[in-house]
Amino acid sequence: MNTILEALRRVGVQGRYRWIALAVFALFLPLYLVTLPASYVGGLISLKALTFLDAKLTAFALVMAALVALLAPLMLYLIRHGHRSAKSTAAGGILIGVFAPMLCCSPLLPLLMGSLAALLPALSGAAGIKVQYFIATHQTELLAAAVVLLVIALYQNARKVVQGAACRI
Amino acid sequence: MPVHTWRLALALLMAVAAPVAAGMLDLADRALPYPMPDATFTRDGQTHSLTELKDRRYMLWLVSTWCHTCIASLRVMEHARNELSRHGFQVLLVRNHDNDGAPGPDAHGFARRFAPALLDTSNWRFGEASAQMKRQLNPRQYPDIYFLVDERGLVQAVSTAPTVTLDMILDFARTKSAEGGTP
Repeated sequence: MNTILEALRRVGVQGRYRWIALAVFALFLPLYLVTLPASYVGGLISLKALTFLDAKLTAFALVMAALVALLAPLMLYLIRHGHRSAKSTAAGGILIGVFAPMLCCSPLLPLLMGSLAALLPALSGAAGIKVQYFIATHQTELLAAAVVLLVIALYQNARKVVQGAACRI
Repeated sequence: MPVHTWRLALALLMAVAAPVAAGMLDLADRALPYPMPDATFTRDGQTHSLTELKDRRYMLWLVSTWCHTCIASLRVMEHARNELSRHGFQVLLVRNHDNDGAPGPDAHGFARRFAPALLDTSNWRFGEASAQMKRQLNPRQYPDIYFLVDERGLVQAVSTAPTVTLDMILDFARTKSAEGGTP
């Protein structure tokens, strides 16, 4: 926690990184608000999904957008200072958060698995429905996993920011 | 993250976005309209056939009880029940065969839990899909798929997610067929 706070303090003193964080939050909050309830509208990205937002999904959207908004300036800071940022965990967190609600209850997986089963008969066409059932019955856990991945990514990048500065000294 | 991982992520995003843009809501697997195949379902242990709805305008809706879209859509349809009843439009809600192998209530129990007002609505029926109905009408195992069938027994639309497509269902319920059949 101290590492994250120290890194955010170090990066945050520069005004442009604060603006980047705000811009990323403004971009990702609507994205999450529309995609998290997608499982209620057949996996579609639609403004109608907003009507199915509840307190839990809104909280997840706020937390994930905030984490991405904190992550982005750290990653940019590292890149600008010639360090490698930890992108894989962050990408995993974002992808799970965005795709899980879109894959649940939509025609996409049955279509995809049906096509794959036609190409590879050994692959059961029923696999798609099993994946959808798993996502539908574990949605909260999947979103929590996305949050955990984003927190890990935040810590990984924060550590690099702090270590990077220490190395220069 | 290596460049190829970003490409994979982009490809995944496009794989999702492209079908959406192409109209993911149209699930018809052949040219519309086409004759509704006869298929059977069970209700209270009795086997019934779609031919019982002959000469009526109806919606056959196949759902899985674990599906979020189905639950949300059932509530949306409950709100629209009076409008649908006014036009004599029939709705046959059938749980997917064996609920896709997942535990859950039967169609009647599903409605009792999430939209109890529908149980007292005369134009709504509930049942369980037979294996033959699954083979005939939902071989791809969509958790949520419906067919809009006119008085001539022709399927006029195949779609999903009434949460998004309710207007199309209502338009269909309001419209009489060109041959002027009576619902």
